Amino acid sequence: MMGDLRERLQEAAEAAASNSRTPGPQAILRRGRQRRRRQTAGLTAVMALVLIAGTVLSNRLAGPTAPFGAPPTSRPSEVTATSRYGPNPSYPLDPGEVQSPVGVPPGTVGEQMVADVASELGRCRGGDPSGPKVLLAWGEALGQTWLVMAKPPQPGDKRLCWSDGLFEADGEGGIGNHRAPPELLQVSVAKNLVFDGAYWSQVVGAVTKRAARVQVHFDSGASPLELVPIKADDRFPVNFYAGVYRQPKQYKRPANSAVTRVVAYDNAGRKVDECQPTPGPVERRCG
Amino acid sequence: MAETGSFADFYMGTVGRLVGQLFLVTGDLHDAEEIVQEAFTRASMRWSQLRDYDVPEAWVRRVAMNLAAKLADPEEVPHP
Repeated sequence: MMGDLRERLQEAAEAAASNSRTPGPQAILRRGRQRRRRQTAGLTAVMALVLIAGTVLSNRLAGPTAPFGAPPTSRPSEVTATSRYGPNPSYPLDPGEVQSPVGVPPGTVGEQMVADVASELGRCRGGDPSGPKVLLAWGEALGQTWLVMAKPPQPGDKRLCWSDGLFEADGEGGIGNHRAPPELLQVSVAKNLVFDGAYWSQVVGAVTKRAARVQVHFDSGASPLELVPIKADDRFPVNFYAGVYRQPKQYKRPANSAVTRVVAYDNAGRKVDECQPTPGPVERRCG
Repeated sequence: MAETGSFADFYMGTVGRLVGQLFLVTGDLHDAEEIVQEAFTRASMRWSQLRDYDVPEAWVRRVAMNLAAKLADPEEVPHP
């Protein structure tokens, strides 16, 4: 009897193994690299930051007028037809339907970036499982391509699923997955990006639709980074924002930046939300 | 590059078996796939140490089992 049970369990396991669809090893390695990047600075001491004025990404709905001369990308004025990405031998997980009202990064590499982020977003528990993923914004800065993608939530959903990707020119990069309570402020930071002989960090997050601007504060007391929210359509309860800032030059090793506060203001200049990330986790919900 | 290649070989040689094993634990193929991917992601971050283990698959299996136990807990699933 035990032998029979063992045999049946073995058959069930083998059936599951042959029916499973998992990404290739390169996708796993990318996730690991991305997570390592996000963990790099979590526990270090206070660092000073030097901010470059105007290095905003959040008004890049049309793609890049990036601070470092990346070519602009056209954006259709209306929602394009939905596109479906078929399975790729390197990425067997079908990303499903992806809507790209803001176009997509150029070339096959750009399409694969979108498919990668969509595949990861598809794993998030939330939204309509058969519904689309929407590429809300993308742009180019620091020689990298960034994307923000989200799944429209369903009525009653307590979490909004969204993902951001940051890729090098050859398509290698990392993806962050987020499950945010709707209508709250959220921030995520990718650190120690190397560009033009300096270290940079990217900040990206979700923000209430009442916000007309987002201010990111740092522990050095340097000027905050001012960002304009990326507007998501009415299917989404929040907008998003993204920006980059440079690490101080005086440090010989990559500096670990510390975002101390993110504040959202409405059109009249009133504060409508505030987030205070704690050291360690890079995201912090606030009310 | 060699390190990446050996992780890829390890992954391709073990992922199916681990998904099958986790399926028996979770009863859900999607959960098993997610858990195994998370365990391999953690393994990729420690590959320089794990590759010297006698049986690195055992490490991944242990992490996956721990994650499965957490999944059974009603607290929120941690995100990357």
